[in-house]
Amino acid sequence: MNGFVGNASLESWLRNALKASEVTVERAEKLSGGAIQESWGLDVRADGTLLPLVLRRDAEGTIDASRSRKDEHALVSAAWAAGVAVPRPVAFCEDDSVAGGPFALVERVSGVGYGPKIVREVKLGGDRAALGQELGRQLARIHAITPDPLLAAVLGPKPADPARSEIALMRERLDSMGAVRPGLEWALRQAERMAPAPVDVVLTHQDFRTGNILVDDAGLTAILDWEFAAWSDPMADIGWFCAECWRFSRPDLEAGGICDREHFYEGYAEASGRVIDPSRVRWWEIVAHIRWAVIALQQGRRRASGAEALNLALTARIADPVELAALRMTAAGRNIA
Amino acid sequence: MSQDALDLLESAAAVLRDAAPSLPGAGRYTALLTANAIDTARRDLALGQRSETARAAIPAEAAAIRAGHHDDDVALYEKLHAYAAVRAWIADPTSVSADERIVYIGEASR
Repeated sequence: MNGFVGNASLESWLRNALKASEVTVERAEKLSGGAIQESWGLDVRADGTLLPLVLRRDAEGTIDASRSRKDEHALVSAAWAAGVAVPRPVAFCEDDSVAGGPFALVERVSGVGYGPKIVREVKLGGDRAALGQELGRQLARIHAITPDPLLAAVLGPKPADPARSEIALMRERLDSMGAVRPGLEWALRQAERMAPAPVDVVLTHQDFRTGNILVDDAGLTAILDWEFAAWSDPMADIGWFCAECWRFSRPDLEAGGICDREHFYEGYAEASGRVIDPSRVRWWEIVAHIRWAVIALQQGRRRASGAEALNLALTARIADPVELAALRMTAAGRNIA
Repeated sequence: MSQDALDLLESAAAVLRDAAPSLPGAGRYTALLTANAIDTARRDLALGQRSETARAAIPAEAAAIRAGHHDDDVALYEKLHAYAAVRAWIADPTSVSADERIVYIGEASR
């Protein structure tokens, strides 16, 4: 029993959201992935037509960095309107009584999302160079989004200096956890000394990486997980995508374990008209490692039970190898950019 | 922690890994996750003393590093690197390079 099948409140809400007179939730299955959110695949019969949908709601104990489901729905809607490959947004429900908490409903898109599998099984995603180019083009579309007033209110003011703001944010998060991590402090301090001067500030995805995309045999089908999206330097997303910690079993394929940087950069540069500055990307790759370590530590402090508690405890341990990687990139006497 | 106890933990994790493929539903995932946790705890116990020694050898406070008092401190960097390598090996032995393994982990990295 998962609370979705045979839920009269949910079916009533769906009738309104889908503008249908007869709605039945025929099946609900928890989808894998999403440590911060739960995703449920729903098969919904609406006036005789079967609709494959996904319901997303908060998982047990979220983390500070994560936006609300409502804000994320606004971001996905803006991305959809801008032609980004995202699941089509259907509706948002704020009423806790319908499904145990606010939730977003989107159309279900087929594809494989598990990062290590995408990297390992090279037949997935079609031609890898073409996939890299397409990911670059998609990222350019994200960076070109001009938020409407509602989304602008969600995002808040643009930071004057995204690089230094990111350093401050990471320190703030370490402090708020009471985490004493001299290794991360070293990496943060070295990054601070070499922080690039601000140039552009755009809407960034902030978790654009292998593992948050869906691919089928032909190529990209969707870009997922928008809960961290925020204003920043566009190179922040490029650094996050290329950071070694997100290449899984193929560290040699520097664009997300999928292809070389050249194809990814080419797709991005062509679609955005922006010149990619390798030293700026390099800086954001260092910060990507620091940020992932901080997020891993935050995950370890979330409340959970059973296997999920074990999973979160092991995720917190990931901070250690990621910190080591950040230290290698910020060795004493080395010009990190 | 005796070597026998460490071997026992290693065997327990191996049994779970072997059993995992035949388990139904979420059982496979849970068994692999648990095996992973046992392996991590075993490595932590095996290198616990080395980890504590490496941590104690770091002469600087995090706040002083943040404040820029050690910006070009090569000796401090080396100690941070040593401690991080031990912790990284405990969490994921594959994350440590061959050189780091020789220098910082030694015999325990069997």
